[in-house]
Amino acid sequence: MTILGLESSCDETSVSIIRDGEILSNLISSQHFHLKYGGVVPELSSRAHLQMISPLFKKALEEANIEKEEIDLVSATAGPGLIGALLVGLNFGKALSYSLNKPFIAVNHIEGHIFSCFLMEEKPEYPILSLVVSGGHTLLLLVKDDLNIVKLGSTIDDAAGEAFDKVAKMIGLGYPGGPKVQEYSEKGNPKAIKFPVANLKGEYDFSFSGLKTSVLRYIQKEYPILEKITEDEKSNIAASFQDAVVKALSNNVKKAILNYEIKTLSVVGGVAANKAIRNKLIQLAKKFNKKIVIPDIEFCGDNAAMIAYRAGKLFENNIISDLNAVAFPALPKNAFIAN
Amino acid sequence: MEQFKPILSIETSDELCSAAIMLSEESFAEINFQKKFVHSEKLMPMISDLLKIANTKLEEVGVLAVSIGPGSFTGLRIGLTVAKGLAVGRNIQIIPVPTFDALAMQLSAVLPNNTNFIIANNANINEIYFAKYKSNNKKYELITETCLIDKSKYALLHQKDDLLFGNFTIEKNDFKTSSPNAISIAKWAYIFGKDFVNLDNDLLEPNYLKNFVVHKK
Ligand SMILES: Nc1ncnc2c1ncn2[C@@H]1O[C@H](COP(=O)(O)OP(=O)(O)OP(=O)(O)O)[C@@H](O)[C@H]1O
Ligand SMILES: [Mg+2]
Repeated sequence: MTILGLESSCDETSVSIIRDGEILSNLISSQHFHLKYGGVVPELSSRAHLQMISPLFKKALEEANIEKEEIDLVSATAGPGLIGALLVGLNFGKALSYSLNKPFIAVNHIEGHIFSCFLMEEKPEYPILSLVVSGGHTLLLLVKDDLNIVKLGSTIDDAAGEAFDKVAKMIGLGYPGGPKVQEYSEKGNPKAIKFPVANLKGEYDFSFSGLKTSVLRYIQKEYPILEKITEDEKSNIAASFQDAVVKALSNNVKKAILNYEIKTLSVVGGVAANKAIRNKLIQLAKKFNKKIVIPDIEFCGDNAAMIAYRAGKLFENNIISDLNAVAFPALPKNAFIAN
Repeated sequence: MEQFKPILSIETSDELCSAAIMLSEESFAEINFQKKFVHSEKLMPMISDLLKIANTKLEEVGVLAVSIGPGSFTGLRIGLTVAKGLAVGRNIQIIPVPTFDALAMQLSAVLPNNTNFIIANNANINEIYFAKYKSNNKKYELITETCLIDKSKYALLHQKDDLLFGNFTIEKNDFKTSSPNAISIAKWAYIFGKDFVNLDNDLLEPNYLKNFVVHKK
């Protein structure tokens, strides 16, 4: 089965073709021009997606070395994400599926991230404890099978990626901050500053807003003149912040491993690219004798291969979408709640 | 003479979501849905139903005519994105149709001869999309090309006998037609589309009329 995936939820246009689980092509065009605005500008993002989508589709066919008629299934991200951006991939996908006379599946972007671990050679086994850490979401999920996903906890304020980006901004590392914070962390001392790890009512919930504020307070207190922060001090702040995030994430993961029967541990989403987080979870999996599957960096950030893969799973379960599928900006309130 | 190939057309520049098929010079079918925020949901099902009703397969369609703007950025993108998706699957040429010219064509067919008329739609709080035409034997003649102007300039461009169309209504009882029907998009492409047949579909973008300016906080 040959599946086309389209992804346009934020600042990456991506087109992928997978066949029987194998990735034939996975092209990602990143909109770097947002850098100078310090964040994604929705209207510019939508315009760029529309410019890229069709040429990228043709290139993906070329790279996969297939004809468009060989596509058996068309899929696209429907949400969550920026509405104007989503509309491009979604409508292109619906129209293309109609035009090729093939079924269409609208895919939940977060489910795409969750199942991105299946793109790895080593296959996860259900039940999976899945930590989703991205720019907009932080979720701890129990993935029982293809269709049963239960939320154990989520962030009550900022997403993990958001916290990385904001802290990076505070110490002047630019956007997107995640990779920069990691880079500085590697040269810093994680024990240099003690930042708090939130203790929350929800056993598996997360909070990063307090951590963010305490980093800000620390900087304001110690460096009233911001320009005076040395590179070493930036590294120490980054490392100590990152350490607090790793602790917050791994505390809940550990609790869940102890309280639920799971076979595989997985961390997905843009922040799963973070080395310290990856290492900590590998360590936890080892300790508790669980399988661990983390996507390669290429599949942590937004990509269409994960969308195509998720569509394939849905298709196997006889779930397909209609041409009236709509885009949605946020995860529905009842998403991943067991009934 | 070459055999007529059906023209499939799309109009999504404003609140009207419209799809039509021109089967011959005398035969048309059209589906309309006038409602805010339904275009992404309804356009593809409308096209699918339309082709079914018209007993036409997408591969029989000769060209895809799409209303290119100006208008709602999101609406225009939905129309053009759908056109690109349909086109790339079956190698169909897309013809970008200037939205106001198509509306002028539609209006001229019913206006008295030699009527000057303005089409003015709200663009944002301060600006409007503006164009001026004259009806001439059921056809339209261009007086002022479609442009983006400050609302305050409107009074200078409006002459006493000009009829006003569009949603930039100063008086409640003015005509409100703010976008053409898809049939007019198809007709425009049929009459004027020959100049566009070598366009690269991939390079087509909505006629935004202006670069988007980011206001820094
Ligand atoms: N090495 C890293 N360490 C920490 N954070 C990182 C790293 N690399 C990327 N990130 C963060 O990952 C986030 C982007 O992830 P992703 O692209 O999955 O998010 P998104 O798609 O914008 O959000 P969502 O998937 O929730 O809609 C950014 O916040 C970025 O800073
Ligand atoms: Mg993402």
